[in-house]
Amino acid sequence: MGKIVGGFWMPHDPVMLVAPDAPAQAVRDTVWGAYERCAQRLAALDPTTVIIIGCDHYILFGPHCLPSYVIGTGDLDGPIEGLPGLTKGVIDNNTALAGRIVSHGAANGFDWAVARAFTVDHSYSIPHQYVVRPAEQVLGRSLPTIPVYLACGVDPYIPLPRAAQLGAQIRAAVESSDDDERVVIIGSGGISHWVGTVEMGQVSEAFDQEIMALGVAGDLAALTAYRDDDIKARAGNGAMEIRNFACAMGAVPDARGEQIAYAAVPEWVTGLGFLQLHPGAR
Amino acid sequence: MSRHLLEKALWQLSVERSAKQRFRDDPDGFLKRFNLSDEEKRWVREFDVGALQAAGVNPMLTMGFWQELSPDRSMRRYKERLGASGEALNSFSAALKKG
Repeated sequence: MGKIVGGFWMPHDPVMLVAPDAPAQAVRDTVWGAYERCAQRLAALDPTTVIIIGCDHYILFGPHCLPSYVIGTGDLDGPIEGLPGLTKGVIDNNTALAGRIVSHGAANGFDWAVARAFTVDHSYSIPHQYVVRPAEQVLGRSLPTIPVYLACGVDPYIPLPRAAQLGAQIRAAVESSDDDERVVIIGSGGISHWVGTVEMGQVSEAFDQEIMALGVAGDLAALTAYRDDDIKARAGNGAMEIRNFACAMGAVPDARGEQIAYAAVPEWVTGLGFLQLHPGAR
Repeated sequence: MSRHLLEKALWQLSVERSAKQRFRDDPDGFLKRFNLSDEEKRWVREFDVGALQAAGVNPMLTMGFWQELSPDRSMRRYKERLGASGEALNSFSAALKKG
């Protein structure tokens, strides 16, 4: 039987790649050190597959088609953007497990949109290249990594409770597998950040700390109780990405979190939180 | 709904190389294909990101459009066009430093 052996929250801030020297050295050390620790912790979980929950930034999907939730079930490549520090190329997927998540969902009230040939963006590639690939080096083997994209950047947004339910469905699909899959799920997202609005550059440390505390407590009910208008007003349109955190937490059984790092980084226009989700810890 | 067509135009201008070139060569010709009012076409032609956002266009699109095609691509100027001034303009961010 497959199982979810752990999860993480981590950011995918592209500004840290285009302006790496903008914050103080101590801040840079905190953030890059957090990615390294996440990689070590991921390897220690001895996973066979990783699932990254990302979100489109109105690049992959256009106004002609805006999926609420979509999973890459076939060939993968990317990232689509040319960002310093990220390499483009083919990515190893676990097509069997991705297909199982889709078919299990269809039988249980979750009608997945599927991407059979998919190019990922930085919300997948930053966790993949700075955490999954270093973990592969430690383990000496490939870690196929399934992309899931939730509507966080473009309305209509997936409702927060639905994101958590989707995480639970992913867990149920993994557990329905006869294979001894050990799956780690990564919720990829920044906390407070304003993207393209007049407030861009602000960070709300109070909101960020609130979210991190809910993660540590494993309080999924409170995490999914936020109203979208409140999130946008307090923490910006980018903070809608906490949907990815809710999905990851919903996938990890009886999750409780352990904060790895937090940094409010206005130079990188985002509140950056790193957290590990431990299963069955309550 | 103009918001939707504005987003369609800006999305193409953000991600499609051929659309970007057509817009650079002939903005009016490119915009002719969209059922937009003269005022809406002017917002796009003049990079009036404030008006576009006021019409409901997603800020991720206005920023992408600006960074891809505006004359100087300055993020400081982008925030000015959104109505920022004083300290808000000078607030330190890597994105603004580029501009």
